[in-house]
Amino acid sequence: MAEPVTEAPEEALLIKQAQTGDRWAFGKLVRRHRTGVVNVVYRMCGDAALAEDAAQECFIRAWQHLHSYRPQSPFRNWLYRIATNYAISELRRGKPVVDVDDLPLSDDRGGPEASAEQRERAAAVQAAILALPAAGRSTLILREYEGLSYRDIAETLDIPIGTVMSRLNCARRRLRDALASYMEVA
Amino acid sequence: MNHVTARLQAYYDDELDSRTAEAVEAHLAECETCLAECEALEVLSALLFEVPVAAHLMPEDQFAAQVALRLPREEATSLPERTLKWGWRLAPVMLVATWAFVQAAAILTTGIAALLRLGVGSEVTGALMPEQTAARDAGLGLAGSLLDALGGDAAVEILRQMSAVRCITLIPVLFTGLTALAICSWVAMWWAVERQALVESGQQ
Repeated sequence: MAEPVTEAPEEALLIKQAQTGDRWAFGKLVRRHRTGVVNVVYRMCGDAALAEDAAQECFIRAWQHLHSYRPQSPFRNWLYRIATNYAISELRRGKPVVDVDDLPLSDDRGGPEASAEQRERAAAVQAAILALPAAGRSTLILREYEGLSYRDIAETLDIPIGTVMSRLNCARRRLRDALASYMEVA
Repeated sequence: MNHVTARLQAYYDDELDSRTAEAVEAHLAECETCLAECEALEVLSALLFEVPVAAHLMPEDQFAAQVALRLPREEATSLPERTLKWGWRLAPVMLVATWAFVQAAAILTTGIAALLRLGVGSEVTGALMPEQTAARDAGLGLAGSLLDALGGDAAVEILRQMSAVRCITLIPVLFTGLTALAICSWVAMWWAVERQALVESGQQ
């Protein structure tokens, strides 16, 4: 039997209150996990506006199915599972389309030339990530961007740890092939 | 030299136990091929962070407020809604109970009719309704006597025809089929709802 994961006491209390229908407690949980959920969806689909809307939808689904959450795994993993599944279903519908020219830049201090290079590199990386199969992409995102352990990823995606490792390995290999020219420069 | 390629990823992700990690580190100090592989993982990670985080997001409070506005108000279900919900859950039980009642009634009726045909208890019905003999003569038992009392010869004739085509036997069979169909439909609907819920909650 899986041992219950020790959530922060405050978070555990909020979850319990939210499960009884406490909207205020759920609002606190939304604030806590909003960034993570938005980022997961954003990395999955590459569209910030859609990611925000999708993240709201994920929280609504979480609220609707809060009774089915069991503290055997962290609440964050449960939310990420909803987020990745939602993103994958949206991707299957062909909804999100990333516009490379609209990619925001995190740093423009390197001048126009550096910005153009940076933009091009970011676009290439984004395109390479989006070209990955959804299963491999979600595994890579949870590991690289969210820093989840193999065990947490396995719980989140409901797959064995061995599958996490093979998906991760496959995704990284594909990215290395796709971004070979940028990796040499880097 | 035995390369540690298979363990490099787990090493890079800090997923190895300390002893294995030390062994990999010792190997990396000697093997340029594996070291290059490990560095490639680092470079790739750095490259992945070239993609900026989602920008121009709405303020946290606004986001939370929008979620709150979109939350369905399910927990505030009214008594009729709760009754409907429980009624839906109990539907198959009620269907089976109704089916059992109908079957029991049919068996009982058939038994009584058979006994009356054999003449068992005819003195009782005769004492109760001495003038309604036409139906009993037609061999339709107590039900026939009652119909006779209500509708006369025409009703008795209808019952006789029904009896001839075994309508009385067909009704429970028909009801059994309809009950089975209703239960199958309920199971199908329940499965569809549960499946949708599982998909939505990401537990598929």
